[in-house]
Amino acid sequence: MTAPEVAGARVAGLEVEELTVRYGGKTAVDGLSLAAPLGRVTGLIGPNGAGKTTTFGAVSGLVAPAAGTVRLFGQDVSRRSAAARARLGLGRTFQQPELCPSLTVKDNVALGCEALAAGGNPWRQIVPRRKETARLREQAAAALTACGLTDLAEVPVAALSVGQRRLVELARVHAGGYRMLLLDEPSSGLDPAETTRFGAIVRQLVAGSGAGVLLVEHDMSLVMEICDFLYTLDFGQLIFAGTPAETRASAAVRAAYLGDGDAAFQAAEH
Amino acid sequence: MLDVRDFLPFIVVGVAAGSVYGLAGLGLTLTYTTTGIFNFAHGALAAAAAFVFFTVHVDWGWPWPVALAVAVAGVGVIGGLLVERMSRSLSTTDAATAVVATVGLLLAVQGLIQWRYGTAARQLAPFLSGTAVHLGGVAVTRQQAATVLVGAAATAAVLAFLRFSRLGVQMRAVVGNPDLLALAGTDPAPVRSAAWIIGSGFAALSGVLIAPFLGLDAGLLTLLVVQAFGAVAIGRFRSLPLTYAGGVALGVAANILIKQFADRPALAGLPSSLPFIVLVVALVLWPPRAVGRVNAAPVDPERVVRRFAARSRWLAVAAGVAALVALPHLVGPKLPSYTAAAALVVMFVSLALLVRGSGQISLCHAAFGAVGATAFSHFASSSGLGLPWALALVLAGAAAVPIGALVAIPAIRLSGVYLALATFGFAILMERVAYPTGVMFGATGSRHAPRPALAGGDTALFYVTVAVAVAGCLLVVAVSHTRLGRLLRGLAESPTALTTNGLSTNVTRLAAFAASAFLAGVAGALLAAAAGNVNGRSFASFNSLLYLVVLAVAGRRLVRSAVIAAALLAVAPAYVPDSLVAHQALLFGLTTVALISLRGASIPTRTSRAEERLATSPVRARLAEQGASA
Repeated sequence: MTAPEVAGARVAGLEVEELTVRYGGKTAVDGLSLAAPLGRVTGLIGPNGAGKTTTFGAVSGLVAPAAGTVRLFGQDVSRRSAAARARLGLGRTFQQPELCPSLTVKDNVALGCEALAAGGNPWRQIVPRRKETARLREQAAAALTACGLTDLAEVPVAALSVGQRRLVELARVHAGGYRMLLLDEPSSGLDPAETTRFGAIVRQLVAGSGAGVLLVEHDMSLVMEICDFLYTLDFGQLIFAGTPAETRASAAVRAAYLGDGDAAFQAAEH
Repeated sequence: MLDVRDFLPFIVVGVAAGSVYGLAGLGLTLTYTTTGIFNFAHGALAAAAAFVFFTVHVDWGWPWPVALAVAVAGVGVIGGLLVERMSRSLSTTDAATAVVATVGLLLAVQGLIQWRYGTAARQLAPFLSGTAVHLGGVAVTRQQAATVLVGAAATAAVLAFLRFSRLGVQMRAVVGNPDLLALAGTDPAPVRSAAWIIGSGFAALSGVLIAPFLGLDAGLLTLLVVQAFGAVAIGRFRSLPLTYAGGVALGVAANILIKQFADRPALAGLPSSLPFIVLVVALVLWPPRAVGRVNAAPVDPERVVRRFAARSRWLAVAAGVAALVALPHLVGPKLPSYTAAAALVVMFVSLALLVRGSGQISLCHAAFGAVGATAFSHFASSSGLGLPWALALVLAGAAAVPIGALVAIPAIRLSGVYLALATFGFAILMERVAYPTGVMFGATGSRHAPRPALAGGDTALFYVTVAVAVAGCLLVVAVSHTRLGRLLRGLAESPTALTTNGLSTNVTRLAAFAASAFLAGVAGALLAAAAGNVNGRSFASFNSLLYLVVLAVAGRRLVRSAVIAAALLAVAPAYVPDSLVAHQALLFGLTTVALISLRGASIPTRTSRAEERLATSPVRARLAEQGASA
C-alpha cells in the first residue's frame, strides 16, 4: 500500500506497517499497513468491531501490538511509550472522552498543555519554566476560542454532555500543538451544528498548521466531506484503500457495510 | 548431600498449612471474581470463626463436628451478609473506598475478638488426636490428614458447584455483566449474597483448621490467613485451582525454608514472609487487570459547601495560633498526647497527599515512619552520629525517600486494590524482615531518640513539633497548588489523558511517593523524639491500616482531615476511659463499616475543593436555571 502523494513529494506523517494486535487468542488487527501524511485528513472506517480503535491504541502506544512497525515523522516509535510518542507530536482523542470530570473545561485543556510541558523531566514536573504556566493558559484559552468553548470554560466537565466533552478533547489536542492527530469518532454525540463546526476546526488545523489527521468516524457524510483518503477495515483486515469516491464505489466496502452502513453510504451520496 | 527424608516432616507440615492457605485463598478469589470487591477482612473472619469454635467446643464442651458447623455456618452467613451489605454501597464507588471499607471491617472484627476474648494468646488443642498414617517414617497426625482432606474436598466441591449448578453459573455471569443478568430475569443481588456467604464460609473453615497449628491469637490469625494473598496472586486473582495449588506450594516452600534457615536466626523472619514476597513480586511482574468496572467516585452536585470569607479565615488562623500557644498551659499533664498528635498530623498529611491528592493507596506508611524514626536515632543520638537535631530530622525524612521510591515501583504498574495489596505486603515484609535487623530496631527492639538541645522540656518540645507539623501542612498545600499537585489530581481522575498528552506518569508517581515518604519519615522521627524510645510495635503494619481508615473517617479536606485524624488517634484517648482506649481500633472499624453500609459514603480520592467548585460554579447554576426553564 503506498501513501498518497502530496504535490509530488511524500510528506511523512504517520506510517503503520504490518500491524497485528491480538487479545488473547483473538486477532483484532491483522497485518494492517496504512499511511496518514501531514497536511491531509485520512479516514479509517469499517463496521463495529473492525479494529479501528485497537489500531489507534497500538499507534498511540497504549496497546502492545503482537507485530508491526509504527513510524512517526519518519522515526520508528514502535518501542516508545505513549508519553514519548505524544512528545514527538502525536495527539489523540478517545471514543469515551478521557477527561478529569471534577476539573473545569479550561483546567482540563490547560492540564493537557501542562502534561506535555512537564513531559518526562522530573524537575519540570515540579517546577515550570519561568512564565510558562501563564503562556500555557493563554494557549489553552486560544484553543477554547477556536473550538467554540469559551462560554463553557468555567464549567466542570462532569456537567457536560458527551458531545461537549469530545469538543473539550479536541480543544486539548488543539492547544497541545500536535502535528499528527488521531481522532476517534469525534462527531458521535455532537448535534448537526457542532458537527459542522467540528469539520471546520479539523480543516482549519490541517490547512493552517499543516497537521495530519487520522480519523475514525461513523458519520459517512462527514467522512466523505473532509477526508482526502480512506482505509476500510473489516474483521481486522484492510479490505479497501482509496479516495472517498473510489471507496463509495467499491463493492467490497458495500458488502462489509451491508445494513445500516449501506444506508449511511446512500445518504452520503444524496 | 540432601536427603529427602530430612525434609519430609517439613513437607508434611507444609502441605497441611498450605491446604489452609489454599482454602482461604479460594474463598477470597471466589468473592473477588464474583463481586469485584477484594475483602481485606477475609483473615479477620477466619480468626472470628476460630474463636467461635473455641467457645463452642472448649468452653461449652460440644463435640467438634457441631462446633465446626456452628463456626463455619455462623461466621459464613453473618459475615457474608455483612460484607454483602457493605459491598452494595461500594459497587458504584471507587477502589479506594472499597479498600477502606474492608480494612475497616478487618479492624472491627479483630477489635470485637479482642474485646470479647482479650489480647492474650490461647492454645487450641488439636480436635483430632492420634496418628493417621506413617509416611516414610514420618507420623502424619489425624489433624493434619483431616486438614488436607477437607481442603481438597472443599476445593473440588466449589469447582463442581461453579461448573454445574445453576447458582454457580449465575455467579460466573455476575462477574461478566450484572446488568445483563438482571435483564435476563435474574436479580444479581442474591447471587452476590450467596458468593459472599460461601466465600466467608471458606474463610471460617480455614480459620478453624489452622488455629490448632498457630494458637488463638486474633492478630496472628488475621495476618496468617492473609498469607492466602500470596496464593491468590499465584492464581492471578482468577483461577480457583491455581489458587489452591499455589497455597499448597507456598506452605511447602515456607516450611522447607524454615528447615534451611534453622541455624541462621538473622533470616528467621524470611520463611513466614514468603507468601508476601510472592504476592509483591507476582503483582509487580504480572500486573493483573482489574475485575469489573472501576468507577470514579460519583460527584454529588447537591453538596453545599460553605466558604469562609477572607477576613474570617485570617481570624481563624489567628485564633488557631493563640490556641496552640496557650494549649500547654491549659491541658497540664495531657500535653504529651498533643505532642504525639502534632507528629501524627505530619503522618496523616503525608498519607493524604497520596490518597487524596493522587488517588493512590498506601498501606505501608507506618513502615516509612519506622525508617524515619530509626534513621533519626542513628543521626541524632549521642551514641550515633550526634548531628544537630533539625538536620537529623531532615535527614530522617530523606532516608525514607529511597524506600518510597521502591514502593513507587508497584505503584507504577498497579492501581487501586492491587496497589493497596502490594503496599500491605511490603509493610509486612518490612516488619518481619527489616525491623529486627541491627540497622533498624535490632535484637533489643528499641531505639533511643533525643529531644532538641534547646527544647528539652515538654512544652518546648510541643512547640517544636507543632512548628514542624505546620511546615509539613504548608508544604503539602503548596505542592497541591504547584504543577506537581495539578498533575497528581489529573492522575487520580484520568491517567490515560495525561499519558497521551506526553506526561511520563511513572516519574509523577515516583515524585508523589518520594514526597509522601519524606514527610512520613519526618513524622516517624517526630513520634520517636516525642516518645524518647521507640520500638517496632509503634510502627506495626497494623498501624498502616489504622492510619488509612482513620483518615477516611476524618473528613474530606486535605489538611483539616489530617488534623482531625491525628486528634482522634492521639488526643481523644487522653480524655476517655482506658477501657475505651483499648478498643480504639474497634471503634474506628465500626464507624467505617457503619458509615459505608448506612450512608454509602465514599472516600473521595480528590479533595472536597474540587467538588466545591462543582457545587458553587456560577456557570453551573446558570445552566441549571436554563434547564429548569426549558
